[in-house]
Amino acid sequence: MTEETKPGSATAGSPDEVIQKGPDANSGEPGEASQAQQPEAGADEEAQKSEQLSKENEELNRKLGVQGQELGDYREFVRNISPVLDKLDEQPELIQAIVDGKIDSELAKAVMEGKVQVGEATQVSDAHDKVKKDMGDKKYEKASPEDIEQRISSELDKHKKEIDKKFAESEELGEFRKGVEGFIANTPDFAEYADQVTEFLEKRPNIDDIEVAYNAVKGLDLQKKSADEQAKQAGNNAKDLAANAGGGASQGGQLVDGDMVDDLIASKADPNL
Amino acid sequence: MNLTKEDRQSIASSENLAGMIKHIKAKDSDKKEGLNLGNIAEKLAQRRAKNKQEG
Repeated sequence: MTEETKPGSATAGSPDEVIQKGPDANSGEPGEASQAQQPEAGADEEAQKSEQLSKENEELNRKLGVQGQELGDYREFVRNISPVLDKLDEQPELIQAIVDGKIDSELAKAVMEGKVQVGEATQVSDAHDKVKKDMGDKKYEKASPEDIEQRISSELDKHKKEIDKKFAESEELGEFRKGVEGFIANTPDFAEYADQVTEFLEKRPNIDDIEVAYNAVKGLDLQKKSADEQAKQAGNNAKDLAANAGGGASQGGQLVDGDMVDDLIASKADPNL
Repeated sequence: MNLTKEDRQSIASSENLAGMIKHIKAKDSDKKEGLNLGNIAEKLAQRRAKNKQEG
């Protein structure tokens, strides 16, 4: 069996073979050398392509693995972060306080655990900022945590009335918001009128009762629908009336030809003649 | 503010959450080590609750 060199096979273009079968540079027969070299050069190119594809495939597999790992990590991150997002979802004020730079990790924890309200956390944060400013950086650095805590408590006591007033307002606002949210949650068709209610309230800043706005908007809408319905019904009634109208005798007359005029009008002025 | 599932994913994946964490970390680094503002806030909350109860 003769050993054939197949183009494209890995061994076909091996450098050793090329060297063995390569043209003799000193043979002085360039045409012959070129003919022998052509299939081997093609095989070599195929081998290089194959090797390149293999490398690319390997690289793609590696990247796929990395991306799969990243996706897994991402999913786990979202799963872990979900409870925190739930809490943030319930407390938009907390997000605002964080973004405003009022909340550190312990305050965030206390708020998340429901031990303190966001307002309390921000008051403490503000008191801390004031104490730090009043003390100055150097003194603050040297002071013990207990000393600073004492100063913060004193600062809070100093503004106790003001703070309590703010909290009372905040609680009132919270209750008002809860009332609004409760009304919306318990009104199944609220979503249908939500945009109109918003527009209604924007045009009437003196009205702050969502129920009043909703009832007004819905009432107007129902009135309009009723009027439209009546108009539609009236139209239908008119159509029915026209369709049911009884057919009488034909009102159409005979076609009059030109001679009839001559028949009816005498040619003489005196009919007795 | 009710976040939808898409909003949550957006927060988790976008810079929003990273931004909030950055703010919290900045606040942490801005205060005395060992000082627990959470405890102070808790004391304040307890005092308020007591005052409210007493009328």
